[in-house]
Amino acid sequence: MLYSMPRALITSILSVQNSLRHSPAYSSTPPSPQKGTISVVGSGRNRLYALTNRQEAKASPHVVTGTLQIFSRDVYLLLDPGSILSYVTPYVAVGFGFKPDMIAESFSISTPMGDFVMARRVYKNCVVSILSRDTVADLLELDIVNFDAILGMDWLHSCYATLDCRTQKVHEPKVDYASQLPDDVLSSILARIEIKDAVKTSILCRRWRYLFASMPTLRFSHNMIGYNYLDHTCPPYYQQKFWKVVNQFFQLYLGRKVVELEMRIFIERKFSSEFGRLMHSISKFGVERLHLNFSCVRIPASRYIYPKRNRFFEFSLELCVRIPASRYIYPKRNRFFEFSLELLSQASSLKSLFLSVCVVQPSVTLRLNSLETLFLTRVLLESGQLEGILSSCLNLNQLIIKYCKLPHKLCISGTVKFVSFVYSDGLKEIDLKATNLRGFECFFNYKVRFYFSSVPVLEYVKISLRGDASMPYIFGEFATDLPAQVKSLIVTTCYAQATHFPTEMQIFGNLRMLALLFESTYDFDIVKVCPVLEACPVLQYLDILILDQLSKLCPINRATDLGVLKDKFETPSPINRTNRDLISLVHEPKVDYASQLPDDVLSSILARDDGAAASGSYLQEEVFSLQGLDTMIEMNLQHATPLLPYKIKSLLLIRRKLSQSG
Amino acid sequence: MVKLKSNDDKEFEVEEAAVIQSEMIKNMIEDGCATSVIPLPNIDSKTLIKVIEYLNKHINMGKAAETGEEDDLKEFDEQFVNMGWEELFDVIMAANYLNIHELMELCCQSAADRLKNKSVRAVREMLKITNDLTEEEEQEIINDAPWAFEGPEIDDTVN
Repeated sequence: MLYSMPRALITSILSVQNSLRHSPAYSSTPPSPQKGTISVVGSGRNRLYALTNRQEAKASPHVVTGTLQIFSRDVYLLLDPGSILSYVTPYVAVGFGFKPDMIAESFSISTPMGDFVMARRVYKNCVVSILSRDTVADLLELDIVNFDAILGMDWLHSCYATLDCRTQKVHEPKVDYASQLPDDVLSSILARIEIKDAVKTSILCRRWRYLFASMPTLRFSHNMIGYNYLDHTCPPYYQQKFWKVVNQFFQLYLGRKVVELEMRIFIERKFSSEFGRLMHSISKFGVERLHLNFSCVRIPASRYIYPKRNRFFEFSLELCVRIPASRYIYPKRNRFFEFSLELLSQASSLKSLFLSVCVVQPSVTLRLNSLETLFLTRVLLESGQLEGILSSCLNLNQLIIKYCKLPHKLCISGTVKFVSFVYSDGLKEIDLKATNLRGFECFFNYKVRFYFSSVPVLEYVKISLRGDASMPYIFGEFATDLPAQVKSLIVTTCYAQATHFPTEMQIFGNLRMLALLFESTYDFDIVKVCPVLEACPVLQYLDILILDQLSKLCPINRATDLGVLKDKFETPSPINRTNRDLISLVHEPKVDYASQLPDDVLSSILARDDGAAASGSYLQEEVFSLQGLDTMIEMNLQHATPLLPYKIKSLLLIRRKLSQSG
Repeated sequence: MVKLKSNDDKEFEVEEAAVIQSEMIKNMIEDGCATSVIPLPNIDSKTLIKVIEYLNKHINMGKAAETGEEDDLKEFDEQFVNMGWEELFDVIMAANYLNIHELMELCCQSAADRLKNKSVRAVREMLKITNDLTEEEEQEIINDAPWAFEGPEIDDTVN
């Protein structure tokens, strides 16, 4: 036990102290041993250090005083490296709230006055906070006059603190926080910062020297060469430097596996051999996700990289709400980097490929077995090129084409299950000839014609076509062509398009879910939706979503309209065989629509119990697709219900009842 | 309910739905090894409390994403990672051990955000790293990747 420390040991510690005090370093100002804080007592009993008073503490260069916290109470204390043990006055100790332990062998402590005080009790494990760190000290109870507590060598030792005698400050214990973390965790942290910063950590200390060299994600961009302009292109000097730096990097890089590699820099065609070498290393590292952006501008694609669960149908509805304000400026066509798919022939572990701002050259012989996701943004596609790419991908799952320049006619073929077109240009006709295609969505600023040549398993369609001619097309020819097995359709209209909402429409054969999204359409009369009900004989779910910022300022009470629509929805018509189940109206994202409806309307909706009920959902902008709604409800069944506002909860529960009975 | 025991012998009861976010414990439960208390010899009670706080909040994460609770959760996450380096690393260690992917992501990202644009001096100070490299070694490192040490050091503040 420390408290019954053999005399010999105490004396030896003291003598170390003494020898220090008389070492040459102190010789310039030799302290007087009698007047200092320490007086050594060596006689028959266990005796320890003396105390000091405040004046002496200030005068002495060997002690530090200050206010620290013990059990969150401020105490004025003395940090005394000359004292072996730590002490606390009974007056402070009373507030600790626990009883001290008795010491087996009591101490006699000498004071500068020459008398002795006995210490019999000790408070163990007292929490001392220093620089917001908690440390623990064993404090002997002792009647001290000028200080609340004295922290001695034992405490300094136990919490690695060092005392700076010159500045009279305590230095925070120097413990390398990162030392406990395994290398791979540190590398994965480094992988999240700019590659330049990551490499810079190699100079921190020996352990960090090669930590960066096993990062699972590499992001090469023009920033690492100090070119920070937000321009599409960059001067040849910087391109040259970029390749030099990449080469230097790979010489140091020891990584066994790179999961994700991203490159973002404008490259001219003359650097294609350097680029080829980079692609070669990709197959070497077993890259799974490859992002190649041949411009210096970041493409906001991160949202799409890892679609979670069943979110495919949610993500781009958001896009149709917020049209990119600035049209992207393309570099001149002949300056586009020509990316040859052939370069990926060895990339056998590649799962996702993101290509931006380039021309893609398909290869007839190439076979990509592992590729599941292909994401093209601002790519120039010429006639036949996309078809060529698709024929090389034997296991493609998702195809996303965004802001691309497309040929007049495209044919989607192959194994792809989900296809998404977002604001691309040039396309007039799409032929869908993909036997595994389950979901299809498209956003165009003009009318595009669809041919459903061979889509036996297509179920979900989301369509947004701008222009006055689009509405009649969707509810006319498109409706006729839509394959019978399509269950769910989401149609977006915006601005003046709503005024072209057709009064007569073609029959949607098997459609069970229909969502109509009116975007930036302020005073649309919902009753106009009525013809839809006649056109969809087996419709079970109808969601009408009206999104408009204006309605926040000047809300329209749609209760009457809703009532009319509800009646219509529920009235059996000659071809209406099944129960009409749901109308949901999301009025304004982020505003509880139910708050705008009078309670009696809402409760009358809720009161319906036989499977014909209306439902509304409070949804966020990003999440108002049908698919999303369904997932949400499904999820809500188990846990989330308490989180939802009460009214909405009831609505959702009704829907659950329906889906169970159905 | 699943009982967890920290290395300082404190027991915590956690809902199974929350605790299965940990792949490790999920596997244990599936294998039927979680009938009594699960001892976690690498995690102290202070860290475990933090982790359980996270697990309980994220119990409904999947649904929250669909219901507009996402902002709320984001706010919680921001608050959650608002802790000192030492604590953060403790949580990372715990998340790594328990194999809680989302927590690991969150904390590593937070650590990375704090290191972003920092000068070498600032990083050393923040992480309490003692430089044990000789001057020659330092020079060698700079020579290996001169591009990384070019340009002005952006952020020299420590926090």
